[in-house]
Amino acid sequence: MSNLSANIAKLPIYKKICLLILVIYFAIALLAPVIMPYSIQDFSHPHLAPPSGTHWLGTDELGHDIFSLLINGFRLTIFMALIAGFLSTTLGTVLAFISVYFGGAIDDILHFTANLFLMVPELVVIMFFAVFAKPNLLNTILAIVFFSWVRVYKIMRAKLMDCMKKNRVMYTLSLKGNFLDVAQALALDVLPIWGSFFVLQCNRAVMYETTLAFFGIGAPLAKTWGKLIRAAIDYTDLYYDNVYLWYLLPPVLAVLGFVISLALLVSREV
Amino acid sequence: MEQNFVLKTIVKYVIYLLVVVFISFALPRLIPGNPLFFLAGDYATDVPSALLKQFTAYYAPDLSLAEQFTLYLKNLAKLDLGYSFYYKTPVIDRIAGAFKWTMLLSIPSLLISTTLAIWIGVRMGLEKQARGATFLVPLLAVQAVPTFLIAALAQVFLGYKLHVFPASGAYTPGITAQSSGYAIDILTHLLLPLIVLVVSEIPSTAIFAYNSTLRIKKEQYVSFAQYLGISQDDVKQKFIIKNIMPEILGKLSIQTITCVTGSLFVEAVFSYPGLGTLLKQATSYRDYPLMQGILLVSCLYGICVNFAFELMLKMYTRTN
Repeated sequence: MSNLSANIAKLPIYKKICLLILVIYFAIALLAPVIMPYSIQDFSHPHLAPPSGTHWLGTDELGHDIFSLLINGFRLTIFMALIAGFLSTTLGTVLAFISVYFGGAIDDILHFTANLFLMVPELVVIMFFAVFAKPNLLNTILAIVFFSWVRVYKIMRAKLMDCMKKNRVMYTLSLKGNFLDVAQALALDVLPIWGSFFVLQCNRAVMYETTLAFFGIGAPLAKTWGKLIRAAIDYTDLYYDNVYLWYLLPPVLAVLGFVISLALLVSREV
Repeated sequence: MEQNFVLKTIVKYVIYLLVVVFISFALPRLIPGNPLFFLAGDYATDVPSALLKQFTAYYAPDLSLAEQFTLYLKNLAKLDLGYSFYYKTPVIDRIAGAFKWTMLLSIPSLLISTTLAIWIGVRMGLEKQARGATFLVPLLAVQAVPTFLIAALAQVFLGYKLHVFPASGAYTPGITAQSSGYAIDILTHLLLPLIVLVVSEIPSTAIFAYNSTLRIKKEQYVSFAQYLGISQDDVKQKFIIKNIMPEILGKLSIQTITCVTGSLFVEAVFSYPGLGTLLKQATSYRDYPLMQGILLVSCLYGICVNFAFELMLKMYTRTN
């Protein structure tokens, strides 16, 4: 634990700020049910009320409390990002390991597929998949995971190839260590990159989900930040009476704060 | 040797092409809840019979999969990508009409952003370590933001609030190529989407150029040139830029693809009549043939671009 705090103390100032922001985001996500003043199902409020003591960010055209929706969005979006980030990073790493361990034709096929994925516009493919599938959050996550493991795979494969030459690994191999033994021997080497990739993939998942939501794809009832942005943009009188200030900007700022903090946290100092 | 390489590359890309065509054929038939199920079920009664006829003629759900695939290939050879549900015209006509607007937006954006990004990246790389790295933070921040969000913010503030630029469309409605001021009208509508696209494209290339410059800067021939008192400008031109070019070219092939993807989202926000707006309409009306067409065209574009760059890179490294 003291090791961790020493590491945090060594970070440059902007990374400390990012870390603080992320801690706040996670706290809000965890405490969402306590923070939310109203249920998100509750649309009994006056329509399109401007911000006031009872509705901090006003209400939308159906009478939902926007502040409650925003806080609920923390929970949904962060939850979605963590799952999608974890799964795509793990999938990329496991495939990279399979590639390196078995080599030969298996490696060729995986590498060929990865190269093909890199050539086609990722987000268009995800969109296509998400439109055809049943609109729920799980399918959105699967679409994101299935098409975004490639970057992880490419770099992990290169890294693992180097690691395979290490004595520790050669030794395991010479003892006829099986797939899992070798994986264990390599785990420590790839853990730091795995961590960075996890953060980056979370960032990417939020980018993708928000973009999908903007295109009106995905679970209609899962009010992620992307859905809130989309709802605000769809509202025709957004620019009269500064409605955009409390309708559009809060979810936009929530997304910006999150993706920028994630990206800066794992950026390499050169 | 040379011919061997070209031949190998061609074979590789032909395989890529075949795989993409196959996936484009298979995806709509594999994903659960796909339109073929929709139209075979109760939903079919809601669809006008003429449209249903077009649909069954193209997808032919009654034939065996092998026959469906040969039919798909035959149609593809005739450039027949099916019939749009929403527009009630052939998909290929729609895509061809939208493609020119996407190119009008993405090609200038690519040229401008790459030039600016190389300039920024190389300058940052030549600065002293700490100062160069400071500029990295805003670049990384912009890179993390989804392109459509930058576009939406620009539209809100520059378009609707400050009225600096027209906020949507590619031309004032009603204006034609014969009207006076047509070119200027097109240009003013192009400006805001173009700026957004350039801003969103700069970071990745700039960071790339920065890292390459840092590496080349440490090479002995650069230190030696500086030691010999060769001017900073010459070192930059003759040693650094020339040596990072092959890497940048490699990066450019990815950039050429992302500039079109980015352009799709920027267009969708600004209702710019390119492929992006078409895609947005296709998704919101669940116009499957149109979506499938856009997917296929954008994938083919990606493969062609990669093919061109792979050959180009080979030529460049051989002549230098």
